[in-house]
Amino acid sequence: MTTFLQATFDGVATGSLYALIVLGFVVIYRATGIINFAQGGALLLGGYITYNVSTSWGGNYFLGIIFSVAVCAGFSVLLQRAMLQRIFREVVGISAGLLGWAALFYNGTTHLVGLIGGVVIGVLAYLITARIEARVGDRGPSELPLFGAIMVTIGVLFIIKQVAASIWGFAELSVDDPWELSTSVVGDVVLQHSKLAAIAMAAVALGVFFVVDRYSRIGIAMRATHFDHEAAIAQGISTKIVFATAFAIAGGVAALAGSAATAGPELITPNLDFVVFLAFPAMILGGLDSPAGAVAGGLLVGWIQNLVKTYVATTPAWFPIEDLDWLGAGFERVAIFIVMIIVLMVRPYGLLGTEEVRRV
Amino acid sequence: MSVESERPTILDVRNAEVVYNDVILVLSGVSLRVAAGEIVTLLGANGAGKTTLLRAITGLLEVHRGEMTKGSIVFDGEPADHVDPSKLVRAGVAQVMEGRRIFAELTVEENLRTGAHTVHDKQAISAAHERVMELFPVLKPRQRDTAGYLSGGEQQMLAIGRALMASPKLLLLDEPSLGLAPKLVERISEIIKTVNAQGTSVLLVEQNARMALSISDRAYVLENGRIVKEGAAADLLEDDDIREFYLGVGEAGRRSFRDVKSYRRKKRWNA
Repeated sequence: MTTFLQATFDGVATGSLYALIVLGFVVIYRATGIINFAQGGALLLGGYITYNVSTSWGGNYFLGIIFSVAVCAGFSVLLQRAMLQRIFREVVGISAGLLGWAALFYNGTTHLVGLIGGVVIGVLAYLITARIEARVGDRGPSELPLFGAIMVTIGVLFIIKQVAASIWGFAELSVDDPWELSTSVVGDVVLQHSKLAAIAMAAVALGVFFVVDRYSRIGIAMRATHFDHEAAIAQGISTKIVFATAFAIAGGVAALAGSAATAGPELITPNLDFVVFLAFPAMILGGLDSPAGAVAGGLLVGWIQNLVKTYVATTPAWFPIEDLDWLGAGFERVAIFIVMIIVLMVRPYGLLGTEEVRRV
Repeated sequence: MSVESERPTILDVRNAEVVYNDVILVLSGVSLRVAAGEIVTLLGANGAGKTTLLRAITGLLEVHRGEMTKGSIVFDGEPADHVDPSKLVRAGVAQVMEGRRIFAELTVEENLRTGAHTVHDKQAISAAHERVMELFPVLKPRQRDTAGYLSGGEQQMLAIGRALMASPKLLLLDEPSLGLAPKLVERISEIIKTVNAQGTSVLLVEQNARMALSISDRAYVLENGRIVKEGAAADLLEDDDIREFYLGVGEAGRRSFRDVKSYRRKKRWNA
């Protein structure tokens, strides 16, 4: 029982971070139809900025969070504005390719192989983006070619990751937070203070979001835009402001998640962005366009991940198969996708998604 | 002409030409005028370009990759072509789109709040809300209900109510009688008259020509992207062509030879 409760507590802590990241995904998807993988970049930047403010710039952890949330929200809005420019999309395509070359080169392949690989990746990325842009039919409400835009967000994520690596290096850095390694023990369950703080911060942020989304002028405008963007424009709702708000919220919650994820015993490296690829199934699980689904999906994925991890490591006695080591390390990440597939078979639109997502 | 035309002009469309996707010409040389306090009807068959003209006025062409390539629109003395839709709503143009287009997943109350999106004065919002509730008492007990579960007639009333939340100077109505029972059509036409009497000018696009002409001051007939007829609504009600094509009334015994004549008329209109 203790093992189960421990895994559940850790799961909720991980899950609340996922919930924040997924909320960012959902808010942007709901407004623009784009799945913005650059969220991973905001997560990374958020974590590193909090690290800098709390360690070297003379601030503390909370100032770091406030500052990083503000910076990432602004950055996210800039990204959205930039994505509307064709030249930006092309530059992202080519630079992502060149970075692919650089990555291959540094990974020990010979210069020539790396160069050819990089050029091929760059040209492919560019061609795919350009080819997709040439099609007229797939423009979303944000006047962006949807698939091309999603490709660009992946490119942006790739670039931010390399830039972060070149600024902060690959070393594992430790944020200076007030909790360090302190814990409380309730029953036999160890409650890491940094995890409690992560849960609390996520809960507050989500709570504020839901109140804004439900009752405020801009919240109603965002929902209206999602359901019928033309009718929303006809009411005088400015889609520019709606899109900017959605991206700002997404950037902000990602930065918060990035800051919370690196507190306590956790360390920050440029590979932190991997979390977005685990949050993505949580988004599909919860329902693409449902913020409540984001929370449900995020918590569920966090919980499953920790349960599987715990029980694969120490298989309980009642389990018919004695030893689960053959599943391999990191199987919990696979488990998430298995659960996602099962849920999708029963509810193709996710747990709480709108059954029929209309696209105009 | 009629007295109405001497009132100040609130909407003035001149020689509008609209092209979709850079190639499809939908309107050419359309001119239309709405005076303050008037109800003006725009008649026309499906595909004549009525909705396109409304889109040109409200700035929604861009959403459909359309562009006004020639002509000008002036609303309340200010140029209104190529202007941001939200600016136009703020200036006092409100539109009830074809097919109601309420936000089905939002509540009635939230739908009304989207209509007041451009209004920042709380008192003005609650005054507008009160007026809408007075006009549409059926909506009052249903404010917390999901809008998609309202009946067709209630949805249309919600759509009109939503547009009125911005307290517009000019209300554009695109086929408000679409798919409604005759009794409700009558109710809608009464509401249009009431709203107009309260000081809002109305541009009404309708297929139900009898209803539309009976409440209008003036009317235009749009065919294949051109205005082919205009005049006082009362005169158009008596017009032979209008009677035949839009009201479905002919004189007795016309069948044998009149058909030929009406065909010729149609050719003339389309030319």
